[in-house]
Amino acid sequence: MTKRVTLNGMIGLVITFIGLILYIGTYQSPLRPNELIQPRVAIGLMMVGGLWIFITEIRTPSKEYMKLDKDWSLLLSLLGISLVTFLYGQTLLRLGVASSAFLFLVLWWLYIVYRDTQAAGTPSQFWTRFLKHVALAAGLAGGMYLLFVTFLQLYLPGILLF
Amino acid sequence: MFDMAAMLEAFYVVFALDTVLFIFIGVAIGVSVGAIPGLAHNLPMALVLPMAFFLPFHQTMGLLVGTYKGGTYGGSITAISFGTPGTPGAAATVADGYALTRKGKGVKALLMGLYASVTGDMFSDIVLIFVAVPIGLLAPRFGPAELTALYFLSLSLVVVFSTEDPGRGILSAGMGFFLASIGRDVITGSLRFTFGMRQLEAGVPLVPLLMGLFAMPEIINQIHTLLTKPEVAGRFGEKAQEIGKKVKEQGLSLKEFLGCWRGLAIGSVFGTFLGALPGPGATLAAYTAHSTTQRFSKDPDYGKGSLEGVAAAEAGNNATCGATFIPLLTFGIPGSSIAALFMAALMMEGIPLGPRVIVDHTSTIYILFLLLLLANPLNLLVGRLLIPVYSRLASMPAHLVWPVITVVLVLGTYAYSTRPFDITIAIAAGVLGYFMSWYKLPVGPLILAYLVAPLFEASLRRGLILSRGDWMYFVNSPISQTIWAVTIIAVIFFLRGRKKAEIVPGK
Repeated sequence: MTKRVTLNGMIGLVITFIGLILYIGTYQSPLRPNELIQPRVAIGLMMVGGLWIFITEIRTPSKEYMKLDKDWSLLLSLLGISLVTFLYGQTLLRLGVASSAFLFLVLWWLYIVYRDTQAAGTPSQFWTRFLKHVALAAGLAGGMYLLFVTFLQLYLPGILLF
Repeated sequence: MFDMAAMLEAFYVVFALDTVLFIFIGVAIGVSVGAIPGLAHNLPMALVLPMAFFLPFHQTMGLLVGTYKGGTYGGSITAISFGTPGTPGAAATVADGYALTRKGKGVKALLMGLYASVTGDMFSDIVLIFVAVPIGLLAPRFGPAELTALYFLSLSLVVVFSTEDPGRGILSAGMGFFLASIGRDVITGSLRFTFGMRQLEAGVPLVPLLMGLFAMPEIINQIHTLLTKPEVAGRFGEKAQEIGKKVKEQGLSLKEFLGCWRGLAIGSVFGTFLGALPGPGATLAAYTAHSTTQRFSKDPDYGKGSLEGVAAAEAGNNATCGATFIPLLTFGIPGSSIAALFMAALMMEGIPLGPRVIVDHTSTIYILFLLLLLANPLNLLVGRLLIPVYSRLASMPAHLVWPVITVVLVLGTYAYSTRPFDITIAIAAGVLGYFMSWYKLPVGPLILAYLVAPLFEASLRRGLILSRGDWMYFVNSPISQTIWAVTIIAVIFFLRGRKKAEIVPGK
């Protein structure tokens, strides 16, 4: 039986190499040797872990292979949702708890309701469904304002709205 | 020495209607706030603290004890229902609890979480009452050498027990160690791996890290399904609602509860022991209990949807509640931020903490003991009242739930210490968490290594300073020798178990 390197094993090897570079890099660090004990242990553990995965994969390749996302939709979701969450965080700091939560939820649900009604072939129901979601978003935003601002007195510097 | 008159006095004060009401309000606030991801119970407790100036002692302490116990339990509700721990201590509950919810056994998991929390809590309170002084006497004997051995044992247990693949466990632990290295050095204060970023000088904060590692990957997965396969996401909601209708028939039986005795016992003992030591805290106790129980559990689904896993993590988490008071009441050492809040409340009442507090303020200490005991049935009652509400929330359609969770996650992460940069850390941790779930790396070793690393490093380096670089210092005392022996035996035991499992095909 031919032994082959799985994607699993290759990632393990890449982690080991990155660890090796970092480990060598610690010798160029201006930190004292005692201050480098823990980082070196950390990097050492990562190298050992990566190498262990690589060797295990060579000996007995895992039945469940890691698959790359062919249409990149997962990667795009990862980047997209991270970006949207970051933008929401920025809106929170500029507009305030209630306004940002309301805006974030309304925009999400506007897209989802529009897509659902188009897919179901019922565009006439769009406004009814969307307005229900707007009312829900307003209620939730109000609830969050009460909890975080009124009750917990959350500090938000220089916000434009509330 | 037992003082009957003081006990009777305390009994009348604690079992009065006003005290019970204040504990009840505290538990309700604690459970509700604890269930909000990012908002630890420190926050409502800090808000309640000034009331000590105008409320009587028993009412203030009732409110604080209730909030503390309710909050410690409350974190498990969202951990089980949405895979997002409400408090850091509930992070170990996610693996089994959320897996059970996905199997349609969310109510069972929530009930087990509640009963295990109350069991661990009750055990810890009883230990506090009966052996506060002996345990308190043992705690100061843990110097740098003993603590280094203890933290090494804790880390070894999680790495070897947490995963079927030790390579992945070691890699994950290495990542946790590395994340803990970021920030100021624990001894010298030098900056390490901050990459010139001022915000990283205080290190990577725990709450944003947990929010990112646990909640973000789930949000990304669910919203990805919602956007790419809306028909599947729609059915998810309907299916969950069907499950929601059935759950009324699916309570937790006494047999199922008692069947998890290993998890309950290990969780209660580990939680009480680690809770009594300054530093480790509820998160470390829950992870250590959960991974140790894995070795003894006969449930093949352990770690992938086991009631015993929920029992171990929750008993371990809540068993730190009573134990936190052991170093506080015996030596006046607050072992955690919560203990520091209690210490502040007691000092505001004019009670100086230290070895003589039990002798000088017997009646007050008895009131505190009885408050701790009484908060447990009230925690059970509030938990039982709120479980149907949370199980309904968990069965809501996906397109409503996940955007709201995103909002609460960001708000909770920011509210934790009002640092905008924490939101960025949570997102970065989310990307790391997503890679870990894709590469099937267990999160447990990372969290535990992250928590243990600063304690381990501090005790190791203090030990090296005290011994002038002599490594034999770490194996000189009988306590440290015992702990090292337990570590070696545990690792050998595990490796032998793995060898046997490899020999028996299919196991």
